[in-house]
Amino acid sequence: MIRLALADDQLLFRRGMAMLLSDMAGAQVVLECANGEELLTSLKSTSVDIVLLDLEMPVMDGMETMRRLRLKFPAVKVIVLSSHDEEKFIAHLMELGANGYMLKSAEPDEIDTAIRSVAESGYYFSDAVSKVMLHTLVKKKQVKPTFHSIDPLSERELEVLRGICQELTTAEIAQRIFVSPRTVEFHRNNLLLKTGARNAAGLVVYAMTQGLYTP
Amino acid sequence: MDGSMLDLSYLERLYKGDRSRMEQWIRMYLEVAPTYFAKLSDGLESEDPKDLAFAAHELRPQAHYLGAPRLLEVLLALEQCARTEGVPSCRPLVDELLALGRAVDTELRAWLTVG
Repeated sequence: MIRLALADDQLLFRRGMAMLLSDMAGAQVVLECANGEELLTSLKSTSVDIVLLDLEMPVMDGMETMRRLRLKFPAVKVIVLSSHDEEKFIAHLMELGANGYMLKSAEPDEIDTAIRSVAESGYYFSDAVSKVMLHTLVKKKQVKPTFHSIDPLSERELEVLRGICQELTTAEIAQRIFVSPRTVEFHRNNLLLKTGARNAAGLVVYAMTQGLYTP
Repeated sequence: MDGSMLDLSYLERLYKGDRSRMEQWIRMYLEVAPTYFAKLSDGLESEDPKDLAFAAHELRPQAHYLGAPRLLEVLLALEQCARTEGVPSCRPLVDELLALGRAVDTELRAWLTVG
């Protein structure tokens, strides 16, 4: 069961989303909060797998909440749900360690896909968000120097990396390259070590900036 | 809803055609929306562009859910106007939004009645 938290000051949006998610098989909304402070307090006593986080909230906004979540609850995954589609917001939130970014105007099916994807593979980017991230990185030339001097990636690691970029789950990658899910996890960890990326999002950025994957 | 300013197909997809859930959301909207629109008037009165931009921003998801393109268009224009041109220039946009809000309210109540 995927345990979800909703953090959004807009009661209408929060209730509407909770109503939608009540139909989602294998997921349950266990927490509804109106701001980041309320969320961080509630997380001390309620176990949550994924937070759907709004950016503009009173008391403590989404940016600050994201920072504190990474410090205090690093295992909790975060999907930012926002009305902002500007590059600066998307890029900054991904840099802060968000596992996914979606617009509030996303199609209902995409919300379901994003939650399942983040639960299974640790990240979700729509095509639009991937493009924004790539554009931002190329524009700012924010590719880490370590990327150029890493140990070369093995064929298997490259296959796993491409699978991650295609938003495949661990099980799907395993099936595709005929290895066990555990082996996929092993290669994934090696990829993180070799590239210096902190999470799957960083791996996608690495693959895209190094020309190893094109959406 | 021919000739309507609303297109509820997004809401329909959101709740997989379940009319009772759509009704539930619309009733929530009708209850809460006056507060959102009041914030627009408050933002105008307080002459704080941040308040006004925030109030417009908060209404955007609702306009999307309701499939109200003109409402969304004016909200975006207001957000931009508040941030770049200051509050006095925003008055006509707020007036239009308040009128649109009333029209949406009327149309939704009619939709609930037709049921």
